[in-house]
Amino acid sequence: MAIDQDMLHQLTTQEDLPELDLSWLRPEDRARVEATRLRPGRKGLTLDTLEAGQELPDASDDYTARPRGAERHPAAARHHLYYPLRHETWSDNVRLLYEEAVQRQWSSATDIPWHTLRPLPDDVERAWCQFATFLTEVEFIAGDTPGQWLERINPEWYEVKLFLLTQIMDEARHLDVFRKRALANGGGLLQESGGGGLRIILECQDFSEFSAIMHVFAEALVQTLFRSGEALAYNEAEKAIFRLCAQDESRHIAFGVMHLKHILETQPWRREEIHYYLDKIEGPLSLDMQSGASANAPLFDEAIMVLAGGGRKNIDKGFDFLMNLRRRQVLEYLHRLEVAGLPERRYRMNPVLRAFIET
Amino acid sequence: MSQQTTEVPEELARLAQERDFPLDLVRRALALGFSPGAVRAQLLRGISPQEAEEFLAQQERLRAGEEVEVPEEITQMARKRRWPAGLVQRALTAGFRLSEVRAMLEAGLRFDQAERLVIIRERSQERQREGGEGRQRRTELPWMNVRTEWGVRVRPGKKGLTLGSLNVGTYGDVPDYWPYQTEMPRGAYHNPGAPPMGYTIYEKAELWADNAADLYEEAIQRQWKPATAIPWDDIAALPEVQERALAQLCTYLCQNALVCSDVIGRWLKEMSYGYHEVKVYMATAGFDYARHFDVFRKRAYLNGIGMGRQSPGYYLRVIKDARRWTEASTLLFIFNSSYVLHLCQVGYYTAASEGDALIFRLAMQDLARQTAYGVKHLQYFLMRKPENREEVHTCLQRAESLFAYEDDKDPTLQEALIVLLGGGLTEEELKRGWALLNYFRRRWLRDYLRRLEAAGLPERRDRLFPYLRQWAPAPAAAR
Repeated sequence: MAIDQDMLHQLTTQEDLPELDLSWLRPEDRARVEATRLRPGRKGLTLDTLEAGQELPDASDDYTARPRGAERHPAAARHHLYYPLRHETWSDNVRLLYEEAVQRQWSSATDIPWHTLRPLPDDVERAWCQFATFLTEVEFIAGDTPGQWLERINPEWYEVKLFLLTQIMDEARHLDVFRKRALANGGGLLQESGGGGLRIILECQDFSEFSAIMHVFAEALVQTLFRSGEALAYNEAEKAIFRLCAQDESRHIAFGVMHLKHILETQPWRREEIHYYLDKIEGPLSLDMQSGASANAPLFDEAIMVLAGGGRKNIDKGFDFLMNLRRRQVLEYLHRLEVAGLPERRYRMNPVLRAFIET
Repeated sequence: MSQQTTEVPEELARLAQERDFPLDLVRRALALGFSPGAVRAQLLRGISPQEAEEFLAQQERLRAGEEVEVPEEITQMARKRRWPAGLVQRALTAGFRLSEVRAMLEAGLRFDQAERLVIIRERSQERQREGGEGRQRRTELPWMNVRTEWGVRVRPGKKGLTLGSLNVGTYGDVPDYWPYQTEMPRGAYHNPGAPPMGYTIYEKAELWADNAADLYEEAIQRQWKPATAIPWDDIAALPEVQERALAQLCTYLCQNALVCSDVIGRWLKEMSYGYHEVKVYMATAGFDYARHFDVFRKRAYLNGIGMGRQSPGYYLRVIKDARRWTEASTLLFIFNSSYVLHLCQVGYYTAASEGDALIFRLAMQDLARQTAYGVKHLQYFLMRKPENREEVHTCLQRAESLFAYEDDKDPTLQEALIVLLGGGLTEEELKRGWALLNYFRRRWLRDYLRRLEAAGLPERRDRLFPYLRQWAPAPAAAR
């Protein structure tokens, strides 16, 4: 960017220099920073490298927008009543997950081999479209929900904010890719679902409630489904969709599991409260999982059955797949809760879910 | 059909053999009408021959019209859980084993929950027994018959399969008013039982920008990675004073990015799903802010300085305090992005290394998309709602006046820019820095007013807050 020298001369002679304070330059007013140069590692200059050795406070009474480590401005305006404790929102793997998310961004426009889509039998195509319609809805909610927590997270623990922003980005791409799939092969969007279970995620009043319900329960179910996508995919494009989406979901779940672990370790008295949140979500969603007998939204399950069976004529084969899928979903969900330190959930979960692994 | 004559499909027989599972049990299951797929699923699940024997014997008795004897213990448990008389027998008839019924009772299933499981199993059995025609009838699947743009295929173009290219047929009809309060995607078939989701923006004029879908795709294609895209090793330390000044600029940019991302997060959930192009674009804008915070923080710490002094944040509060998306968008993407762009121009101009130049260049690339959305949205809004023109001026007036208040009250950033632009602390350097800062501020005001003019608000030039007029271009230069 070049500046005309004549203009610069003119400006220099015309403008009077105001009186300068320069107090921001005085080292004694500044938080002491170890004056060592950062060196990027194998994965570049990551947040872990950046923050290594820096103080990570457990509590903050600062309600301004001050980034961690910045000198406080005595007259700064408060911005929001943030969570004052790190434990309320923290997850020990958050920096790693943020960096991984940044590295693993993909494009639904160019990273999916759309050219491998081929005309499918009508019933299979319609099932795919119904499946994609429902997932578009799911991803809408999944993108909106993390956003509402951003302004409640103290900038002191900015890493959580950054991670949630990557999640919002991921969910946008997911809704986008499923919409594209619905429209790319001659089908289109089909029936809207009941959606009652999903609203519970929007209704959360606490960050840990949100994370347990969304990351640990809902996204875990979705991820198991995506990882079982081989049975539902009819071409390389669909396989790529499942693989890439599952990769993103893994990060969200990893955040949720580690956050739950952190909460249980640092605030053990919240154990029963966490069970309440899980009771709440397992109930409504387990109705959806009931498939044929549920008055709520069997359409997603039916679509899975048609896809897994290879058509509506083989829906019984698809039913077996669905029941196996439900069993895997519940088992994986329980495993994650065990990792988080909630092994007793196996015995306390909604009986309808429990039935999937015990019958 | 007698089990002796029942033929076991070759694949199934092989699987049974692999699992060391008696073929006789497979034959008995098929003779009872279970599909090869169902038997295969049981084998894959790892059912033991003992479990299979118990189940098949029970089913054979039931098919012969006999009742299965229910142990008293299970009857008692069922009574205790208030299961109606007959539900246990019905569960067994539907194909549950006694051990499974016991597990359901031990798990505490209420009668209605257990009954739902039984109904599922009954339907499954019916499907297995029915012939093709009957099965077809059973699986009517009403969602398969809803209206859709059947037969319209969207093909990937030069830029791949883009979001904008999906807007064909009725999917391209973006309604002026979105009538659904649910999570329904545009173009789907409404479910009247779906609950409201609590969005507040249902009018296209309140959020739409014709370029949102394109900006979304562009943002995804141009995402960059602060950890690896910047040649960090090549960024040598500046003289300490300049390094501190740069860290101060980075501190401001970090704070700005965090607040802006909060604003996006707050508004995302207000936008109804009829306008998904805007929602997904906002997701990319939020992600841009995350990367900006990330890269500027890394740059501040790179050479051992760290964060500088926070800004008082008065002017950023105005953006947070917006009560209408158009207000938030105009302040965020036109006023603030223009301002931040000029800060990045200073960073780029003063960059002493390729790495520093790249940081600011990439950030500017992202900010350019944001101004593009902001301008197009304001343009759309003003065209549809000319009666709200004065309201926009009021909002801009608030932001401009609060900016002036902060700029006057807290000289920290201004001084850092002077030091950075001047290259040091001598009087001559400071004077040069001050002159250059004024030059860049003039550019900022020129660009800001041009953007408002493009959005359809050319008169803002004459109504600019007085403090900002010191940098406003002369009328001829502004065109």
